[in-house]
Amino acid sequence: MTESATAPARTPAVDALGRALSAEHAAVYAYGVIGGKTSGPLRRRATAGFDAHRARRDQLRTLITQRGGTPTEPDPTYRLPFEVRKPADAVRLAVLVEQRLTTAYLELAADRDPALRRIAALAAQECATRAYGWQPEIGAFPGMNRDGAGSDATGSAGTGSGGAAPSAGAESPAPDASDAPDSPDGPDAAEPAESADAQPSSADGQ
Amino acid sequence: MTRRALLGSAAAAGLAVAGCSSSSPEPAATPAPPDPQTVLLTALIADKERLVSLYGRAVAALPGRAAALEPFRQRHTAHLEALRALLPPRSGTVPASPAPPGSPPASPSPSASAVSVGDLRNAERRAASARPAQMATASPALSQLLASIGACEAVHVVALGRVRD
Repeated sequence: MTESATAPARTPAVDALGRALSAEHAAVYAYGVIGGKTSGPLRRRATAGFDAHRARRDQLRTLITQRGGTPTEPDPTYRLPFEVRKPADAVRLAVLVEQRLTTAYLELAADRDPALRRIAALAAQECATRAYGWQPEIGAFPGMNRDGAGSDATGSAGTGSGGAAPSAGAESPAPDASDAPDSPDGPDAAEPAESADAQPSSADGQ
Repeated sequence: MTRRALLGSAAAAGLAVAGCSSSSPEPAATPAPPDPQTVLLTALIADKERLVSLYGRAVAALPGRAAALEPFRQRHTAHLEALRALLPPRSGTVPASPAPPGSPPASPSPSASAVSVGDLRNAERRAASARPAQMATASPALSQLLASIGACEAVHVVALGRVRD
């Protein structure tokens, strides 16, 4: 990419793409942490998530460049919303990351460009599905924030009000995720985890 | 609440919101043809109503799964309400629309056949995969809502795999 000293294209699309890219950068970082604190099936799930987010990150970079923007580079480090010491922390962080990304993609879904909308729709579905894989809770409106705007999962100036934990049951050590076979992506990846039925979590929209 | 804020941010970005004419420069003076957004919304609502009724049939056919399926049905009902909320007020009397493109023909009568969890799963999968195309012509706010609804439906596909008997 050439260095464009002139005013970069600050279109709404590039802005929304840039925010999605920032969120993907943070997700890649977070998944590195998550992978480091997990093993076995959880580790494989983390690896799959890491790869998926790297792929989306690269796709977003390309889209931004194609539209005359300059993709941001990742920060050297990110402040996590809480200390990740145990696998349960890693699971909680993964859920937070996916929720945050879903929100970023919903923003992109409002763009005028139908191609970007399509990408956003698919990415939002993937993120929501991954979040469910980590923790089987379902909201009616994924990505439409339940955990107030300030509590960043992944870095950007998180205020972390009230401990930054989302409404998701943080105290449960994600029992089912640990014994579920690894099937990270895709609506077809049915997971035969009998222990945890989908909990009727409160609707997101409220 | 925050959902509205999110939708509002799209509006604040200078993008028109379906049914919100306050910032629209020209108040359609002539009797306009049906607003495309209203047509789209009406079709989406009809689709969602079919999905809700499909759950009703499944619960009737699978009483043992009723408790497990009820949260799914409730989320679809929430989607339905959110879609209806985007309709302009005066279009409350819009007649039932024909089936939207890509949707199956009119659903069979409620008692036509028993509905299995697998049927629900297929319906969820179809619904989720239809969202990107539906978003192409939607208003920004509706597009955003559809993206979220599609994400929920995609999760449902996976979650129903745990309900299957």
